[in-house]
Amino acid sequence: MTLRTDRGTGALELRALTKSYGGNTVLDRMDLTASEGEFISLVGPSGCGKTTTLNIVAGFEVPDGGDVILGGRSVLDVPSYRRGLGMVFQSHALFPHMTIADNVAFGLSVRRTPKSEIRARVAESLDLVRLSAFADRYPRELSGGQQQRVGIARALTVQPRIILMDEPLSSLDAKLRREMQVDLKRIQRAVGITALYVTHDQEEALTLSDRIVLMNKGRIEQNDTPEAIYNKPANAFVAGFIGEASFLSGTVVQSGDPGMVRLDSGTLLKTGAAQLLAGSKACLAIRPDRVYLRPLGAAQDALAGTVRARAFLGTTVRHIVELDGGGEIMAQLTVPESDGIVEDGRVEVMDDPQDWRLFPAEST
Amino acid sequence: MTRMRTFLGNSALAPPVLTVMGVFFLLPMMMMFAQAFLPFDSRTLTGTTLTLENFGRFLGDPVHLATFWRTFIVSLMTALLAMAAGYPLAWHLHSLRSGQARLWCTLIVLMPLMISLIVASFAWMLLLGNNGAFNNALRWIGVIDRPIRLMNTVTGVVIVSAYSTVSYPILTTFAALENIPPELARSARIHGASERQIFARVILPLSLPELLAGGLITFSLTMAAFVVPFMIGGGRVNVVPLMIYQHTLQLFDWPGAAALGILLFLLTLAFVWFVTRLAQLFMPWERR
Amino acid sequence: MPGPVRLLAWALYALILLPIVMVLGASLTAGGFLTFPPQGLSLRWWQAMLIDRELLRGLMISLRIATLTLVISVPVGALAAIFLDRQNARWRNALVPVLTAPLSVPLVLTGFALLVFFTRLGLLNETGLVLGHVVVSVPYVIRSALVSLSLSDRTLARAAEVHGANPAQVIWKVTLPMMRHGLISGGLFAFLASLNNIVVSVFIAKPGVIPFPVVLFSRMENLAEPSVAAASTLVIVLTAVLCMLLEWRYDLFRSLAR
Ligand SMILES: Nc1ncnc2c1ncn2[C@@H]1O[C@H](COP(=O)(O)OP(=O)(O)O)[C@@H](O)[C@H]1O
Ligand SMILES: [Mg+2]
Repeated sequence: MTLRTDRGTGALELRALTKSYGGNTVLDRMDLTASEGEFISLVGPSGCGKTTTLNIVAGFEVPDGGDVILGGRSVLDVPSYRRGLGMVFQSHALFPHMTIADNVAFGLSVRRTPKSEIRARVAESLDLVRLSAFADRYPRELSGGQQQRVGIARALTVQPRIILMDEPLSSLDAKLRREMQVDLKRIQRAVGITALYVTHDQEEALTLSDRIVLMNKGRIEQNDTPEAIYNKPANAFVAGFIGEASFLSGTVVQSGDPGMVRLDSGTLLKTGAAQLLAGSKACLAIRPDRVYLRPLGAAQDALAGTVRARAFLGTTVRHIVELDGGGEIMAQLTVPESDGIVEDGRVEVMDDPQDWRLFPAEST
Repeated sequence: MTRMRTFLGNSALAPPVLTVMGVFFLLPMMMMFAQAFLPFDSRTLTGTTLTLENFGRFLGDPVHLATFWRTFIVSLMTALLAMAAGYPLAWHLHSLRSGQARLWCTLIVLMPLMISLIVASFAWMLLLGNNGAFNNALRWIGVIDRPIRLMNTVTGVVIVSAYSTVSYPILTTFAALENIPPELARSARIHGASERQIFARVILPLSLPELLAGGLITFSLTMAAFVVPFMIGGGRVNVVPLMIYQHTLQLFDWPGAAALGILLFLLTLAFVWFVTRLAQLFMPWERR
Repeated sequence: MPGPVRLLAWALYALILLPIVMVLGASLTAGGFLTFPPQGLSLRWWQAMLIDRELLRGLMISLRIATLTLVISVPVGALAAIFLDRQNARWRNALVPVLTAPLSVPLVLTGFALLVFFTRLGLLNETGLVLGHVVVSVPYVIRSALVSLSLSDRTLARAAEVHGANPAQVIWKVTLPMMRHGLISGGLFAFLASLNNIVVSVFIAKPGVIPFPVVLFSRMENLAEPSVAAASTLVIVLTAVLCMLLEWRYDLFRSLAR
């Protein structure tokens, strides 16, 4: 693939990036490294500073402190248009007065690239996003998904060191979004380009990324592979943000592996590795797909509760169980597993202690 | 039932405006239109037989044709001048960040629309005369030793006409600039365009259609204006609206005035249509 | 923004303001005719204006006509805008140019046509002037009211209707308040279009009912005395005060400048 030439490497490093708007700290000493060809997603609740980070990398905003290092060199003093970046916008931001081909050629034509080379590279880019047939159309004649593919082609044609994407798919409907995710991943792999991707959709981040950077209030909560972030969340915030979780609070009785926790309701539970001191308050995060239910039997110390709601989701059934002594837990069972469990029925919650993670209480 | 309710709800809305426009605009226009086809007689004023002679009177006469041509040229120059002055002002207004500054500048820009045309022309007479402020200032600096004649010239009429209509291109262009999504400039910037290139390749092409639309408003208004040619032209710059005014109120030649009016209106419409089509040719993305 | 463009912009703003400043200055001259800069300062032409019956009468007539025009054209235009807003896009696109036609027909033709019509009806008087001004003012109201309607949420009217408001209540309680800004700016332009109107007035005015701009226009044919500048100043100040009141009370221009 000739779309990617080596104009310096696509490695990106953010060092202690800090930014505040009128006393309101939006980025707080943020560090991040991305190596060549990596697909990194910035994820986090709205207002956590994702766009700000991207805008600083793009050169649209100047950080109050810290540094942006691209291909081994600080680019803070390099204006946006010389940073050699590509960007895909949420609103597509296609030039309405240019044909698709002219839009894709834009970056090359402002660099005064020879016409013949422009033609060849535009053709190649359009081919990559499978829009060759639309070269002479205008943006408003294309659907939202097609427009976004033009946006991607435009960004790739300049052979950027990094491609920046700020929620590029969030204006598309759910089905198209899923198709585009597959496309996006295919294209990024084919070109082998470093991608910095902003999304507030955790599922999208899990699907696309080599690494997920979960941000909250201008800081990084966890920076890890999708598997690690889903299975081994670093804290309760991560557990709650990526995937679903129910939270129960209690007190650590025994630290170590396995640990023991006494829930506020009084029940004693075995848990996964507990690095907390015995006696400290703790919060237990439980993924709904790691919880099993069965009709309440005779067991003495069972974690028991009443099914308050059941929702059929196609291949699975979701249950909300109100625990005796307080607290609520979600359980997602396969259809056969949920056999015999009825609304308002008494159930016993079965646990697989390795999957129930323990965090300090104050971090929720 | 719903249909009935909708009808009742709507039926109270339309009659007032239909009355105003139907009785006091459409009907008079039709009566005026009919006038154009009646013969003019200087003693009885209007006859009753139908004729096309009124149109022939003007179209067959080189002096009158020259007046049509002059009217067109004055309007065209006025539109160009108003567009040339309007664009930088719209751009400046758009680039202002502070709300207070925007407020004051908007007020200034609306000024020519809000103050009386006659008051403005009259101020411009003080400015443009041989002994006016403009010539006095130039003489004082020493640029000229003999006054530049501006009063009673086409140049003077164009300047003042542009002044009185400059708000339109400013307002339309300002709206266009405000409506360009800021991401477009960002997107151009990050893909390698310098500020100058962003302006030339993105901002300018996207605001030109509205500048042109504002220019066409200026053009149409000037085609129909007689106050400025009367006051600034001082009888030396004859234009069709002035002829209509004279035919109506001084010669009582209503058929002639009506014919002139129809010709003027058609000429205006034809030119606006032509420019719009031409613009669409050069701006294919505007085509619907 | 490049420096030269900003400089040019400031120069153009100054040029727009210049004639206004000049009229103010010229009215204060102590000399016998209009010049700028004024020859000495005095209030003699303001005194002259205050005893100029024709000028004062013109002012009074103009103010009266403009007020009547405002009072008639705002409700007519508002109802028309609501009517247009409720049609489907095709009808609306066809009807808007028709109902705002006086904006696209040369004003001199409108004036002349009204002369033809009112001569037949014997309406070459103040009533005729008001009617003529209403015709050219209503389109301004329709336009700006339509803009504020198109910016507002159409479902609000449905919400009101579903919850029991009858058609009149929907208009009174929901639609009119939503288009308030458009009506105020449309009303201002209607008022000013009438107050400053000359092209229509000049055809309809008859001795005894000559509005202010026509008085000025007729005096221009001879030589204008500085009392004309004084009266013009008065009109400018009136316009400015009106605009300031509307801005202060309703953020009128702030919303235009957005
Ligand atoms: N130009 C600005 N001026 C003031 N505050 C801003 C500006 N841009 C962003 N913010 C604030 O910074 C915070 C982070 O914004 P952003 O990076 O856009 O968040 P997100 O993660 O949703 O993309 C938000 O609280 C936002 O209100
Ligand atoms: Mg954002």
